[in-house]
Amino acid sequence: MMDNTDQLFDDYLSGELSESQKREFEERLDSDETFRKKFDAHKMILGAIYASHDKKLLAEIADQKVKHLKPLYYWSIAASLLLIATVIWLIPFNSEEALISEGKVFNTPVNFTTKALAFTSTVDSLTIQLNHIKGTPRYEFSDTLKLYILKDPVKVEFSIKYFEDVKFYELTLDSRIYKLKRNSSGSLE
Amino acid sequence: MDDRSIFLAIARFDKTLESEAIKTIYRQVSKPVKNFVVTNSGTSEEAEDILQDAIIIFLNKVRLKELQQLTSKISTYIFAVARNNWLYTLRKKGRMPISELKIISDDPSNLDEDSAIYTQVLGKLMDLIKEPCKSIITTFYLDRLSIKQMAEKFGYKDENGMKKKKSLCMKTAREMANDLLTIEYEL
Repeated sequence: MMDNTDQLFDDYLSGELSESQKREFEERLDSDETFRKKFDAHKMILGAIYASHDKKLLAEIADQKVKHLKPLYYWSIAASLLLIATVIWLIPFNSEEALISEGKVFNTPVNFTTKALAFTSTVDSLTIQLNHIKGTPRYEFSDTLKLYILKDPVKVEFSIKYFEDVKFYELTLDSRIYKLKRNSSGSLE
Repeated sequence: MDDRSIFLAIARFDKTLESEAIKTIYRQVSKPVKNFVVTNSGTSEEAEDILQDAIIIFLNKVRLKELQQLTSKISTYIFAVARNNWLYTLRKKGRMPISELKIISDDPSNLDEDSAIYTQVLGKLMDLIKEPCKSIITTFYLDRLSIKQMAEKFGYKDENGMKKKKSLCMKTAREMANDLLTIEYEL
């Protein structure tokens, strides 16, 4: 025999019970622990489904808020922070601005960082690590996109787009465009 | 949209207005929540997570009839949830800002562990529910398809078979939910 409790729970949650049925339902929640636990579990399932949907929508909303990255010229801040960050290059970004692409948009925001910038889009996720070197600019791209770039100038204009249909990333670094694929490495010259 | 229209759109699962309602909420609370987190030892990524989790908690409270009427502004409610969750996270991570320590010690009820881990637990549950049950439950409760439409979509001969399968899926999911409800989580 099928359990009709789900239907009762759904009717309560969608406001389809009459006032007396609603009262009876709520009294039972107070007096019948098994019933209440079952209802709690039912709400948790629905909550999980709604949350999963809302997360996607909120990520899209967050993405729509972001704008193309622009460099900031916080020379004094950068100079002091560089004393601390000796290995990883610190690039100052405006915390209110982040990345956007015409196709898929990475969910930022981007902030001042000394380690990695983690972007999660609805289709992919990408961690970017920025490293300062003195030699030839290059990249290594597997799970993490590691960029080894020159220290000067401190200002760096930086953005990345993902083209889902052809599965490549378009990296713009100081107005120069590079097409990168996962599981590859090479020069950035 | 004003608070009342937003509340009704969420509570009534109004597909036409719900998306606009959520966008309005995001716009209203985004800046204060992010400012609070970032000025209290948080990164912008953590701020975004806290913001989105607080909005999700509000939405679910309304949809699941745990919040049946507004006693404050929606933005005030969500900010309070976000603040609470962030302070709880900081304390768990040992990163509690000195300025907030006194507030917490004066009123321990400010910290609501259930709220702070709510979205994580829901995420775990979604991971545990396997196909085809995940699609069946989602189609029923999110896409709001009738049992008849679902029977066609999932290839069941009649509505009875579809009803039985959906009922079985809910039973299994409920057992998983009960298991999760009895586990203690660490942030």
